[in-house]
Amino acid sequence: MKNQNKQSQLPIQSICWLFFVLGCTCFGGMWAAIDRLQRELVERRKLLTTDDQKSLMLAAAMIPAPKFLAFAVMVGYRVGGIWGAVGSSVAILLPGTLIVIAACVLTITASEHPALAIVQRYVGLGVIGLLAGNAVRMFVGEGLDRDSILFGLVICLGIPVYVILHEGSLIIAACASLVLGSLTIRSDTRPGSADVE
Amino acid sequence: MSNNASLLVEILAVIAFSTLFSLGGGNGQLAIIQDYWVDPGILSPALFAWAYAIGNLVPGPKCSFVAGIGYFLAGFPGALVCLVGISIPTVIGASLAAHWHDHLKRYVALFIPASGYVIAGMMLTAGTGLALNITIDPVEYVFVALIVLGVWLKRWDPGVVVLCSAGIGVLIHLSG
Repeated sequence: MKNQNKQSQLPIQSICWLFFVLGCTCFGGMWAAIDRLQRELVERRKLLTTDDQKSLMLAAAMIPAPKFLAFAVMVGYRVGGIWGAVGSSVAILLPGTLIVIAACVLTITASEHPALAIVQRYVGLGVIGLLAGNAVRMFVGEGLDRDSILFGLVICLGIPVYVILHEGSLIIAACASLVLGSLTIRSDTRPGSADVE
Repeated sequence: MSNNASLLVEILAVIAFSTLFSLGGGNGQLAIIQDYWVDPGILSPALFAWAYAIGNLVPGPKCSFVAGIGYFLAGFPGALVCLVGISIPTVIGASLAAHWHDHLKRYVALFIPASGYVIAGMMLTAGTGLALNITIDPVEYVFVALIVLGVWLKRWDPGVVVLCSAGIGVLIHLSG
C-alpha cells in the first residue's frame, strides 16, 4: 500500500480535474458507479489496485460521512495528501451541487405556476415512500439474531416515538440509541446498511 | 453577529453535525435537517422534499442535495456554507480513515451493527415527520405504500421514484 502511494502521487489540479469528471459522469451513488470508478482509477490511471478500491469503498461505507464523498476523499488523500483530499471533495461535489442550485433557482422563479405545486406534492409523497422503504430495507437487511433484532426494533421504533409523540430531541435519541445499540447488538458478518442510499 | 451571519453559522453547524449520521450511506442526515428547519416551520416540507428529490437525479454524490437546502434557507451563501459544512467532517474523517485505515476500522466496526437500526429509526422519523406536515388522501396512502414496497422488495432506484412521482403529478395537473 505504501509503495502504491509513492508511485501514484498526483498534482492537485489533476486530482481536482479527475474528480470533477467523475462528479459529472457517475450517477446513482458509489455502488452504482463502481464500474466507472474502476475503469478510471484502476484501469486507466492505475492509481489504485482492484483490492485497494474495494477496501476503500468498504471503509468509506464504515465512516460517518456520505460514502461516495468519503471514497473520493480517501482516494484524494492517498494520491495527494490532505490537499488532495480537500480538492477531491470540492471537485466531486461541484457538478451535482451546481445542478441542484440551478434547479432550486428555477423552482423559486416558477413558484407561481400551478403545475409546480402538484408536482412538488407528488414528489413529496415519493420521498416519504423512499424514506419509509429504505428504513424497512435497512432494518430487514441487518439480518442478526433474535435478541439483536428485538433491540433493533426497540431502537428503530423508539426513535420516532420519542421524537414525534414525546417531542424529544432527535439528536439525544440518535446518540443514546447508537451507544446503547453498540453495547447490546453485535455482528461482524453482515453490514446490511451499506447498500442503502 | 447579524441575523444573516448567525443563520449561516447555524447552517454550517447543523449540516456538519448531520453529516455524522450518514454512517453506512444512510439518510440519518435528513432527520436532523427536518428536526432543525422543517418541523419548526423555517423550511417548507415541499421545498425540503424537492431539494432531496433533485439530489437523487444529479450526478456525483447524492448528498449534494444539501446545497438546495442551504439555498432555500439563505440563498447562495447558504448553499456555499452547506458545501463547506458537509466537506469539513468528511475530509477530516475520511483522511484519518485513509491514514489509519487498519487501526480505525475495528473501532468504527463497534458501531456498525447498531447504526443500521439507528439510521432506520431516523429515516422513519423523517418520513413520518414529513407525512405529518402534508395532508394525505387515502388514495395517496396507497401511492406511498406502493413506493415503500417497491423500494423495499424491488430496490427501486430513488431517481426513478422521484421522476415517476413528478410524472404522476404532471399527469394529474394535465387531467385536472
